[in-house]
Amino acid sequence: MKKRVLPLLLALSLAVLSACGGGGGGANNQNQNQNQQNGGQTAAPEQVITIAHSGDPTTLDPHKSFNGYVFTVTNQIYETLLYRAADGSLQPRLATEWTPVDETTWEFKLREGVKFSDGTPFNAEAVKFSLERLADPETKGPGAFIVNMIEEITVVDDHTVHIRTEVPFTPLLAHLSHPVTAIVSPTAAAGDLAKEPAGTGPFLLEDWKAGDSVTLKANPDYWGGKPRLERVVLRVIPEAGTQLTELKAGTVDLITGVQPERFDEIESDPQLSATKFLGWGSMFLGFNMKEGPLATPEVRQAIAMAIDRQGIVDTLRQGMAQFGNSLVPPTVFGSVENLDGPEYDPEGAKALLAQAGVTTPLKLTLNTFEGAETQQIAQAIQAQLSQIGIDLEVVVTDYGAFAEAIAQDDHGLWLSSWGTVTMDADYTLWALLHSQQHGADNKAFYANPQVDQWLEEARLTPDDAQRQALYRQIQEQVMADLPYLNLYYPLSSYAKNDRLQGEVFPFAAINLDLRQAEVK
Amino acid sequence: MTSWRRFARNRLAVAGLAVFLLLVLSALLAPYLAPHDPNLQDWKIRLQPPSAEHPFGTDEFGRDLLSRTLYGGRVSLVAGIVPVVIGASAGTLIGLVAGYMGGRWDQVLMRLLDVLLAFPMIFLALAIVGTLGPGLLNAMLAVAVVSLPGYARLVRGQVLTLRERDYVVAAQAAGATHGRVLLRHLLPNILSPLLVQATLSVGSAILTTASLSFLGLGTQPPTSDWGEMLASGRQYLPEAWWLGVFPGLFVMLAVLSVNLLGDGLRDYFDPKAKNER
Repeated sequence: MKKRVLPLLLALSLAVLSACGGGGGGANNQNQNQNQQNGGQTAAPEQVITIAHSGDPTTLDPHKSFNGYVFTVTNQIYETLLYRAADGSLQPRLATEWTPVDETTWEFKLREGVKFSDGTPFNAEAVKFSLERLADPETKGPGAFIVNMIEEITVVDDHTVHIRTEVPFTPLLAHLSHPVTAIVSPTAAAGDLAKEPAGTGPFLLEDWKAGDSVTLKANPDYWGGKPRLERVVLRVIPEAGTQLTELKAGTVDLITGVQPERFDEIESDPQLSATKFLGWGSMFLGFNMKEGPLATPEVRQAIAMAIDRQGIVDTLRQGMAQFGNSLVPPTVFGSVENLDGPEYDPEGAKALLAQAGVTTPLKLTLNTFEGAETQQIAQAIQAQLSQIGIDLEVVVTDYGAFAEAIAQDDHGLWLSSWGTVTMDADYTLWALLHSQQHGADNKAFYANPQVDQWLEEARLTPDDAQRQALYRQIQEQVMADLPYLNLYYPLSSYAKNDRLQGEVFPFAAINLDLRQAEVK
Repeated sequence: MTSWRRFARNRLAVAGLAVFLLLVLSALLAPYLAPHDPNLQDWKIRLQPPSAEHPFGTDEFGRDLLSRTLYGGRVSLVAGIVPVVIGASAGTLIGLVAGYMGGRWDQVLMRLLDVLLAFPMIFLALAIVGTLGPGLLNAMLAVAVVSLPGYARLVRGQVLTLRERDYVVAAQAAGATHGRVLLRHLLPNILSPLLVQATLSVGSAILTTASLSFLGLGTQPPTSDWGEMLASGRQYLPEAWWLGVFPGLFVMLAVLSVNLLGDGLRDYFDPKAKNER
């Protein structure tokens, strides 16, 4: 028997070693190439960083995707008119100034002297071209809805455009900071942007090995000055544990989404640091109100009362989350603080079910997608609901199958995360609550004419205070109707090797700003 | 010398048998042995190291790991045995038919099995579970299908050598039906290599189903098997070693013990080995 086991163990450990070696080797080769290219400059550190990227970007055409893995890369290559800074304010990027012309029209002054990486000049025509390309049904862009309220884009002069919406649309500026609205070179767009991107951003695509890595190099002609980093390598490492191992080994300089349990471990390493902050994300539970037991308000109420949301935040998420009832986090405009919601009360929940004449055990299903956090929360909810007599079947699938499962109208509960990428509540509340969004993101089939009307009003209202008041009314109504139950706002986090300095990380990896970053 | 004493000369095999029986027993008696409800979550005591109250510690939901390991054993052992029974029965049937009938039957059946053999085991199992959907039943079915060609080839080979033997020819000459020849004359004579093969593959079946569960394609929460426990414990490994060690230890014990038992059976049935020692 020994004879059988030993070679097996040997083979296994060899396989593991070679797998690790393969990964590390890739990075080393990269560094060696860099050494050769830099020639004599041995004293200064090489300006190359490696970022762990959780999934392969499927395309580098920003208009043809609506996916964070893609935007994290495209946002380094392309730029948007406006940019959401870490303090939540909208900052100029390709647009330098913007002023309202009338209720429905905004005038944008564009940055002058900017060229796309293929040499095409950046001008009003390029803006018109890009936004129309995104909206064009031919493009089949999943993010087209971001600009579908735009009626007309007029080129006033080379560096001025007017954007007119069908009706007054206050969140327009926020929408023009969304990475899907990236301005692309009209010349390059005639070719294949998915593989040969051309934008105005600080970095250029150097090499892309599908499923392995994307290598970006500094754009020498960047309008804001050539970035100090020569190269940024985004290596595809799907597994969080592996990402951390590589960070500790020094083969990766930055990882995003640090697990709560890992913070101490990272902090104890003098070379590493970890940061957490409230981002734009929420984690919520959705109820399909269309039919079945979940159509009964008491059942939704009882479920909400049976889940110890504060307990989830404090113990299971180890403080890597913040509790709140509002569907959007406090960082987002339109978030409502001190919103009253269901209190944790399992006995009350049981009584409520009995009162409503619900026979237990009640069988329900919950769909969610693969991931340490979603699976953890789903299991926690399953256990908590079992205490009030709800027998919850948890269906965990990959994201594609999950999206398919809840795209129908026969699903039950689902657990999902959501990012208010525009940092304006309209983005989330319209999608989740408006009755026009049945069949799209309103998978709860929530329909409340009053809420629809408030949502429409909030879009038309230019005044921030009035909009805020509307969003409070809407969310108070949501707490009463319970089409969704917000569980918490996951904190965004990232950890880095301290040799990387000067990076700015606003809300999420998508917006990572490396223009001033350098290796020290 | 009785058969048992001859078998018992192989100490390792006896040890394997004993350990395996112990594991089966602990799984069967899980409701009596487990100190806690395996699915009871108590978040206040999550990720606690082994103690008197929780001999194997607690997991990320504060569930008692010992109880979960015992209950998980029920799933894992069933997952080791059921696919082998299905795979061995179906494989034997195919092998018998192919070997005995020969000709076109043999050609068609064996070429079909060659298709299955052409894929790496875990890849084929993944493909099957991917098509049927995740779940313990589908995982077991996948493992059964994957193991099928091994049995079929083994049985066919045996039948090919046995079918020309005098006693088979005699039975045929006496007018025995094909079914009678197959079941009464051929099957009993290939039982011993089959038994060895089956025992040896229980271990790999446990491992394969555990792998599928590890990848999230086998058992679904809250029920758990050792593979799923390993997978969910993996992310807490740096601070909670017990989450990996205990389920891992049980997988190892189960696989090792059936392998030892299988080796022992092989030696026992091997005519050449009879005179050794």
